[in-house]
Amino acid sequence: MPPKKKNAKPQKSAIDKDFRLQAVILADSYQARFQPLTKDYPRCLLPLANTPLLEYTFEFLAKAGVCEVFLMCCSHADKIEEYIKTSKWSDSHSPFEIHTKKLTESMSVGDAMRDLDGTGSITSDFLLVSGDVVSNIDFTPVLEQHLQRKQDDKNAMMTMVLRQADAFHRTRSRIEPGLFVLNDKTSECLRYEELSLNNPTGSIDLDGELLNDDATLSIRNDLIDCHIDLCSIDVLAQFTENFDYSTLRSDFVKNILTSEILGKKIYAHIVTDAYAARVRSLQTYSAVTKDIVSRYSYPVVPDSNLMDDQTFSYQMGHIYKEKGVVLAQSCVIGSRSLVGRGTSVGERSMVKDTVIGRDCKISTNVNLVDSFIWSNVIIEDDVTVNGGLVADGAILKKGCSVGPGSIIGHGVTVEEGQKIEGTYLVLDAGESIPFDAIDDDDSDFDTDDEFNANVGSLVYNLKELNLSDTSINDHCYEDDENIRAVAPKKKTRRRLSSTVSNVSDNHEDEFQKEAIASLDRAFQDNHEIDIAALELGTLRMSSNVPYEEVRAASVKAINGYITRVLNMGVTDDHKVPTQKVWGKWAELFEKQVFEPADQIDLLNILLKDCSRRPVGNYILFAAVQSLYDADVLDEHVIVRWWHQQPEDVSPEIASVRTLLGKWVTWLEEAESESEEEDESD
Amino acid sequence: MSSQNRGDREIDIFVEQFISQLKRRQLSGSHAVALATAQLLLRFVSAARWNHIDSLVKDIRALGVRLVQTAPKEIACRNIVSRVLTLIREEQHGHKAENGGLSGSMLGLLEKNDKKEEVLDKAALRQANRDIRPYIIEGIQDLIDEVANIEENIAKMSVDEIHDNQIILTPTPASETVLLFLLKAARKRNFTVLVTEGFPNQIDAAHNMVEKLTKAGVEAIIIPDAAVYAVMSKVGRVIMGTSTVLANGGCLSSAGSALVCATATQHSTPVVVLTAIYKLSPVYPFDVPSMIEIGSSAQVADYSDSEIVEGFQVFNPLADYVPPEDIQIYNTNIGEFSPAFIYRIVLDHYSDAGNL
Amino acid sequence: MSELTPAQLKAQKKAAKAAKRAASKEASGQAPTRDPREAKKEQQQAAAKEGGSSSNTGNNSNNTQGGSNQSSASASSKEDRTRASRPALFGHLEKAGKVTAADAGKDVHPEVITLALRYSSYQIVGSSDRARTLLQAFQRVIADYETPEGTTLSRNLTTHLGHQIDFVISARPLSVSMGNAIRWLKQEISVVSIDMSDQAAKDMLVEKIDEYIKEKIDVSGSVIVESAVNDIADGDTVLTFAHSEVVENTFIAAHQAGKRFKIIVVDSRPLHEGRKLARDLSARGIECIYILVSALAHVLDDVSRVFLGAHAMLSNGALLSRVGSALIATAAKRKNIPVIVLCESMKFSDRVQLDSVTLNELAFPEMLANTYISDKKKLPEDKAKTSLKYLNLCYDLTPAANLTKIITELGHLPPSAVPVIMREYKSAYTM
Repeated sequence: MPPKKKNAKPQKSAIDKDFRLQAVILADSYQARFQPLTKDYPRCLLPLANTPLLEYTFEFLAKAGVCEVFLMCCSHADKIEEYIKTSKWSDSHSPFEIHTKKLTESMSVGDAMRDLDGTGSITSDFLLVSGDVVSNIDFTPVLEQHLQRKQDDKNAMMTMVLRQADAFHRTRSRIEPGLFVLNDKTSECLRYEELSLNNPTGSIDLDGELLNDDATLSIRNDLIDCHIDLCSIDVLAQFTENFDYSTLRSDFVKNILTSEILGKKIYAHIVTDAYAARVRSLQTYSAVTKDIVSRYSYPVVPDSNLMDDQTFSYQMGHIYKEKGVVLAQSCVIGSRSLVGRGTSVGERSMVKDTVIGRDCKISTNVNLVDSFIWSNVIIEDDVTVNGGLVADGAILKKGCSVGPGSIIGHGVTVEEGQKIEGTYLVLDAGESIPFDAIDDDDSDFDTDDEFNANVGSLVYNLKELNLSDTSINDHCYEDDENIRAVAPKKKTRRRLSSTVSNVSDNHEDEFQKEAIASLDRAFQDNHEIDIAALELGTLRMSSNVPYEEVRAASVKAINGYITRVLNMGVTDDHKVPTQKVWGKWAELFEKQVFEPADQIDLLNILLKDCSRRPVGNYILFAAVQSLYDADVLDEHVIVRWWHQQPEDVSPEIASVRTLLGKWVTWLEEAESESEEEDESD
Repeated sequence: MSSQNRGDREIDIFVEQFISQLKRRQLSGSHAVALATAQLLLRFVSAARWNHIDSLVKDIRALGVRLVQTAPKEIACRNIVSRVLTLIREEQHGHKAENGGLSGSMLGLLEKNDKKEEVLDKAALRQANRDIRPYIIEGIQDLIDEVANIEENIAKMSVDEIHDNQIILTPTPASETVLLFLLKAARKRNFTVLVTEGFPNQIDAAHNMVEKLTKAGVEAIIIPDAAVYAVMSKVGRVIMGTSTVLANGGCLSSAGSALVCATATQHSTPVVVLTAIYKLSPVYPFDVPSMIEIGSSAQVADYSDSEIVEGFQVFNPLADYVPPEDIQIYNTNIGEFSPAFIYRIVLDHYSDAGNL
Repeated sequence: MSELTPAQLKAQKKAAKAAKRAASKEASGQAPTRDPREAKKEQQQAAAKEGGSSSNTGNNSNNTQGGSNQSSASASSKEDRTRASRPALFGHLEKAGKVTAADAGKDVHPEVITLALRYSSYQIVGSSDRARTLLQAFQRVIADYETPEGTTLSRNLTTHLGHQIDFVISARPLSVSMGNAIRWLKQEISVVSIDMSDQAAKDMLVEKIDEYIKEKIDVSGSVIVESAVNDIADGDTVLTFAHSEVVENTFIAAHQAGKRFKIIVVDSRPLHEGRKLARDLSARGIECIYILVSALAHVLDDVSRVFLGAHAMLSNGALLSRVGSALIATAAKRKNIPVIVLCESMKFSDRVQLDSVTLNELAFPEMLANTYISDKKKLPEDKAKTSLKYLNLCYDLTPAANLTKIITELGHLPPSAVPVIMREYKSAYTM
């Protein structure tokens, strides 16, 4: 992309004079990353540098010249509507008209898109953003290029706006970071993969046919996906046609790109000299706040006073203060800090790298470093907050300390002298209790550690974290009984038939129970594989769970059955029964395993499960061998998985895989021998 | 400013849009802002309805206060509002300022303008109000012409200061005034121009200026900002533009100008500032840092480099304050003045009525 | 200088011819005014440091003592092609040449070729670093050297080294530190006893070079650092410009000593050396602020002192350093902020210079055509921009009045003490 802003020759603009740009804001992300801060309040109205997130989105749209906005809300839609009615965006001089749509029954982005398609309000290419985007891009050239491409090629369906960064940039979402395969010359996006913390291999598979063209491909793992998409109306139609599309990227984009029949194209516009980011999680919340305070997003900065009643002024050192801030003589406001109106800071207090909202009362000798303090917070003497987030109305009593990664929820009181470290406190029935992610079904996090990683990422410090993909995965290897810990990121928790907007996870547990029960019946009654598979399949579809769940349940069922058989102790020999069971039921997995990633997942599930069972090593070996014989697992996948196993694992896992190791070695040698024999492969 | 206070009239919509543009920096630079403000005030006055001229003055003043709050660093905006208020006052009192000169302003210092209103009786007042509007509008039109026509302003400026075979240095490549001035001088003289890059905010303007000068046959060379001291011994004149001239004779100009002028002073090289009267401001620089806008850090350090973003702080000021002792002369469309005399010109064009 | 300007302006229209005319004019114009001994010294000095008041072609013919004629011819033809973007105004200044390995004569050692190319592409910058790497390369040259039949080591080695030096100069003019080092080395070679065997002599020379590097660069640097650390107090805001090895080490030492201070790194185009410094310091946990030169006026209010590195200290107490240092020093002095120069004694020169344009080095103008700030991006082939004229000076001169003091390994000195030091320790520098 040429950096120069000068145009060589004036070209006929691809934008028609009468073109009215419409925009769709997805106010609800249908994820629960900000729970329970968002229990009572919509996520898009959370304050970022003392301004609600939605305001940044509106500013971006206003700058882009949007004429009409459709705001798709789900949770707390009433509050959003109320907010918009009283804001300046509803005035007659607002640059666009806002239509708020309350979709209380929707459960995914896909639902919202389908609804939109149903109403027919979108008439041409539109801008699709989420309610938490912060950007200063000049959008006109992006729009022009998009429309130009559409003129040249009718199949150009969407343009994604991505910001160049690097792989471990703080503003790049660490939860499901996207990997894009792009054609350098045409900017076409050829593949999209979502990397997850659970992907132990650190590699992806690509079709060879991608390399057929003469094009130069680049595989980009250094882009910030700000979820700013310019879509044509075809996009809506696609969502309607495929009603199981829920998410924009992992469902829609991924499938469009891999579908051969469809032939639609998605393009990527990489921004190198402007700012664009999305606040998806607490980690990005922290990062984007820092970016704004450090003026990387100019002119979207606090002292532009984008909201009418703001009165920020700037001071050297990236310090922002509103009018009406009362500072004691000896208090120090350090660099990269922001203090809202009506806040008072007492003697000898130190504020550094911290954002403080309005009407807070901060007493003497308080230390606030690297933190986020929202409005109406009372902080008494001698308190230290280091790397924490304190939400509205909280009270921190004398002498307490809030350590890195802590979140003090709305209205919570931290008692005198209490030390909070890395926990998340919420107000529940008048009491302040820790928020346990695993028990609460609203959580989106697979493990305690991932949750902590998310919260703790408020103060994410690159240097302290080991950077390899496999070591991140190790966090997830720390086990709990819940097999879900091993299942990869995709969790479709919303059922189409559910009428509750805040859904629970119950049906997944139910599925597990029912599946295991069904398989147990099959084992005992010695059903045919096909029948058992059919039953399992039906169960899966009715519960609408992903295949990971099915695999997990199957493994558990089979191994459970074997363990019971061995315990019954008919013979001392464990080999024969194991071989028999696995030999018969390995084919069950044929309908559950499709891609190499699935195979790897299955292997991981097996490893995990067997490590907890008696004679686990033999069971594991028998299982893998049977699956290999049944052509469910491929040689090269097994070998690759084996070699990518980390060295330092728990002793159970280490011991259980020794036997398998020998077999894999044998397999490798056999493989190489057969390769030598064959001339062609 | 809550939404209840804003009316739904068309003019209010226009005002709100203008304010939004200022906030989003879609409107920036003293020339563009001055022009837009003047046009806004023209519409405002045309659309306004008043019984007494004072209510118009009050409204314009309120608007001015709002504009200053929105963009406190765009002093051109404030200047234009003050000019308009001044001219309204002048029209109102029937060209008293024409008698002006020293005595006029002396009286003005002693008298309080508000009290003067009560002296006129109602009939004369109504008469005055009805007649004034076209004059005010004409006055604002003149102001717009003054701002818009740089060419004409330059034509009045003297180019005698440039000698043949001199080397001129300009630290403000974005200034249209300087470019046109040099092109005009090029018709009569043969000289070389050194243009500082003004990285990062003006690098494009620098390239643009050099291209245009080269096309006109002037030898133009780009030098990095750091090289200014090194070349100063060869430089005969420093010619620069400005965004605002302050009441003490100092001025606000693009980032890096302060250093250039300090260097010029050390080498006893004269600094000539080209400006137009609408850039003169009655503001006194009590707190210099509050007048300087800090721009995007991403233009100084690469945002995509996480080491940089997390490692160190970056600043990118967009303007510099040049103190009056570093400037030799202000060359304007109505004549040449030394910095010490600027306050006088300010008094000529602004009255107390223009205070916001 | 001004009387040359019209002449050179005319010459610009007939590029190559004018260059030669100017060159011969300068060369003949200068020679009669100097003592023959002085002239020879002048030539050697001109070889040793950047800038002679003749064009590149002239310089090459002055310094070459046989050999490398082909390198000068090809260098000058390359010169003409790149000359288009260089303004005639500074046409008298030394220029960097675009050399390739193919331009080297057969005598040039591969180590030296690699090194020269690295100098030319600004991969190795900084006078301490360049002197150190040059000497290290010479160690290898000496180790691989074989005295040919019919001559002695002490006579022939100098000539051999001369060929190496010529190639290095054609890539980029020498720094003062390099010049001093070379002079010292030639002195050492000339006093090698006839009785000593070649191998012993070579070993001795290599060892002496080690000692020189250690004493004059490394240990001197450490002594300076130790001393300069005391000048940083708790709570200070220290300003520095570009990247100087000694200054960086001072900051690191002060940080390790537990002092709490802030650093403001001022950077300039096109080399952006300050960015490297800011990265290194941030990585060590020192709080850094990074600005470009144009933002300087904005930060000076809070600065307690300014630390500058040096390319050379001249005999009249003036500082020759990366272009932009003079600006910093002037601005700081105006606000009564002490300007402290950290400079090893091996960078002292007995030259006197009154302004930055008498003698200087011009780097490639294309470096300024690139306006990317990212380290990762490649230079685009943008022809429109390279048709503009750029002035890419390497150094500038800060008069002694703008400096507060100099810290060398011999102690803290006022700028005016430089000629005294040079006289006292003259034996180390003269031939």
